[in-house]
Amino acid sequence: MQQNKKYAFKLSILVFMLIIVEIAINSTSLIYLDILGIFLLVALINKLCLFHQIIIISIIADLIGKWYLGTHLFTLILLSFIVDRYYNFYKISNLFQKNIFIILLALVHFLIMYIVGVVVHNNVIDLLSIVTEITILCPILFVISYKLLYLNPTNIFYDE
Amino acid sequence: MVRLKLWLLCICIILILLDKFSFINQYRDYLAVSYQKKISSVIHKIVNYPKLILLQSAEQNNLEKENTELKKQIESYSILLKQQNNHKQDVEHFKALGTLLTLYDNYSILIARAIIDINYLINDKVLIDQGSKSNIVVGSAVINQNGVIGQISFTSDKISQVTLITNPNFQIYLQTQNGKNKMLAQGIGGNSLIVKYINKDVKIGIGDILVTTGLDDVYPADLPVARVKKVFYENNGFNSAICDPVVNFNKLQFIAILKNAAK
Repeated sequence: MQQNKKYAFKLSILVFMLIIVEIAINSTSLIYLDILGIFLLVALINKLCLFHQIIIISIIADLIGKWYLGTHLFTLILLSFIVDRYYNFYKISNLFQKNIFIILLALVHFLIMYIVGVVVHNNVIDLLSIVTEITILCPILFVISYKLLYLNPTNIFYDE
Repeated sequence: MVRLKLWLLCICIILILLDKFSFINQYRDYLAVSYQKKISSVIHKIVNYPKLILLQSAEQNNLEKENTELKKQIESYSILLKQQNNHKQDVEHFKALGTLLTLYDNYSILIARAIIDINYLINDKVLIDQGSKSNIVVGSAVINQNGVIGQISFTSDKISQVTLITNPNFQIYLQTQNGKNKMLAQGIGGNSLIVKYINKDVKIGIGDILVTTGLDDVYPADLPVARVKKVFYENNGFNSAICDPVVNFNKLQFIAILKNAAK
């Protein structure tokens, strides 16, 4: 699948907006939201981004979220094994089921991040942030990504 | 694809370790802290902007209040200054009146202070702050260092009323300064007097001072009373003249009440 320029532009705008929102929330409030991490998760499961785009956004997420470089990518690659396995099941699910699936994946995502944090002594995860991300951020980002980036048949160019 | 992912996993682990144990971490932290500082300062400004405006408006209100208070203070100080200047003038007037005490042996002199009020403008009468308790009697002459002011027309215990020479009920005999010609003056209101029965042969001009005759036993002789403003002929065979009083009633401060000792 290839993307046209319009789609890439929309994606970059969305990522830019999410970066601003993440910086604003993390700088002004006590909670620490990994918005780009959740977006990457949604993008991975819906296959909204190409592989190199996911790598770039994950590095940006590491820089913005003050994680060690490669943490997000490491987690996403591990999650991609699960996603590949359950992708067909996900596709036939309705929106509620998809949300539950994303929330479960997000929990696994945070678990892996937590383990990485424990290993490298950079544990910044707190319960309030995780609850906020799961209950509020996951559905919101899912809807936003679904509305803005979901590919129409006209946007898709098939290689084969 | 799985192989690629495994390679990427290895790269990620290397990146994490590199970030953890190299200088990259320090630079990253430095950059993160600096941009967070800038962002938090910008957000702080944005959040506190309404407070700043409120503070400025409150400060403006305080300044306005302070300004009004200062204006009031200036007004009070200017009033004090005026009072001080008036006090100086009062002292001068009082000293001038003091010289009168030695002039008239036949008269007992009492000094009082004039109270200028609306009565002066309407009735050509002035109140003074001494009354019958100070032995002031009706009919006494009232003068100051410039000339004749009027006559006591009413007394109470603590205040008395002076009928000014411009009052229509007031009449006085005057003479020219050389003392040869006598004439009758009467107040006509509006800070003026009319002098009647001036002999046509008398050479009287504008600006001449008319003085008291001393024949009425009320006023000593040769006290200035009026200054001629206009001379005109009347059909009764005499000239008449419109005069201004010598004394400026607007600036009355201390006055002397003369009581004839012979009475």
